[in-house]
Amino acid sequence: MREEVPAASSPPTDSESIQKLYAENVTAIYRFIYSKVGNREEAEDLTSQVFIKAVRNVDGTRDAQSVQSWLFQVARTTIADYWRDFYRLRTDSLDDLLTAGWEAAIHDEVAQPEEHIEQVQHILSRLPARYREVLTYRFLLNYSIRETADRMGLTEANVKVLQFRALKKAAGTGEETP
Amino acid sequence: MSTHDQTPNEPGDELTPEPNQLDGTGSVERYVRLHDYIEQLRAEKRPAQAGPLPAEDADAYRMAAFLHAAAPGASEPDPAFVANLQARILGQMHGNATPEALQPTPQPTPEPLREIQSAQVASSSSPPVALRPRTAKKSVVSRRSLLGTGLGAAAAIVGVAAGMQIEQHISPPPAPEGTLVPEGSGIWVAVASADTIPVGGVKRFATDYVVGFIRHTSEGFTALSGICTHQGCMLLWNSGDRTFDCPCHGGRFTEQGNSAPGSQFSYRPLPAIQTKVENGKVMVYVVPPQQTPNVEPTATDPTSDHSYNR
Repeated sequence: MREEVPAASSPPTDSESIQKLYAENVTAIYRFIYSKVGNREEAEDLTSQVFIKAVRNVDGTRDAQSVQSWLFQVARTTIADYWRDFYRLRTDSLDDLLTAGWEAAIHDEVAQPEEHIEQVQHILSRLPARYREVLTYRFLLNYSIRETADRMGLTEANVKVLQFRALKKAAGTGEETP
Repeated sequence: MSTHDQTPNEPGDELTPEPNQLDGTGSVERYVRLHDYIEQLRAEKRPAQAGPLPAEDADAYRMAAFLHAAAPGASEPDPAFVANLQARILGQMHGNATPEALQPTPQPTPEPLREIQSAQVASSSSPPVALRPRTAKKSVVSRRSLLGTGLGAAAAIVGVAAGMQIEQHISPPPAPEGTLVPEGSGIWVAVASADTIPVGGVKRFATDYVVGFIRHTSEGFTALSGICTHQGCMLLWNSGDRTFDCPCHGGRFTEQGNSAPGSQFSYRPLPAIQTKVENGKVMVYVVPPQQTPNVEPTATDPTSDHSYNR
């Protein structure tokens, strides 16, 4: 399922309104995409794709809020295509995942950094202590595997296993016991 | 996997990875692969394609990306990226060659591709400044000097898919060696402090009309245009492979500016930009503002003499 970007019902808007649309939305779209792909290179690439699609298809008669919602929809389909390619998922399996609430662990459209942090804190707070600990070390404090292992009294191999399970649990599909 | 269900007595007992299964989907493989992905995120690198992997692990990867993105400042866009993307978008609006826009109309004489505008950006040697969008009707530089005429004309003659295939077989005429701006018609602009670029380093710069990359080689500083010679997209420096990569159609250039062996298409080399170092600053020789070697098209007129045929 590759969602089509809805075509414009009116010609593209002029340069000034495109610049306005861009200036008002680029940061939010970039942050949203970054939160899904986690690295700058890919986020920049996908953000570019979104706005290039947007310029070709934007409907000049929409108000700013409606355009913003539409932009996020374009971003979501762009990310879905990326996931499909990145994970080489079969189309139906991606659909299945989306239907099954793959998005459930992460609320959509986290555009503000504060909201993002809030969600992360909420996710971590629901985890067993050991899972919360390893994810805090690895992601919030940005410790290396070695540093995390030292602090938790584990081997590096153990930490790799633990972070795997913690991420699975945080995503809603992992085991109960660390 | 019964040991994994037990409450541990020793810190590591329950965390011993299972032996790899012969089909490569053993737990060790999964842990290591996810770990590698996380490490690439930490390096802000585009992770190597993770697939094929069980769909049920993809959510762990996404969660890793989500958590990584929560680090302070992690998800703030690079101001240079923001500025460059705006320039691309404006260029696209003004009829810059997009693949879907090409029509199979013969072109009797080579036409320069439509000018692109670059937004006002900070040079690489100064702190980022707020983006100041430009209005459409400013004078811009023809990209004839940047792109030459061979591939531009070829791309104009055929449609996108066919054009791309044909371009693979075209041997473009030898690129004119030398600089982007004829001597005497440009100005020197400081774009970086020399001591901020170590030997082997590559740094992007953007002036009002020219974007490019400074390279510090063993022989000194050189600079190349940062615009893909295919259809004018802005190149990205790939520090891992040491290539300039085009996000639009997959073109790649070596750090010397030649079409890279692994490039999907063979493009004309990137024009060189004159450089010098003065008072510790790396300077580039670029086109000054207000210079219009060709008739300036209006922003909304797609039929002007210098419009790229859509």
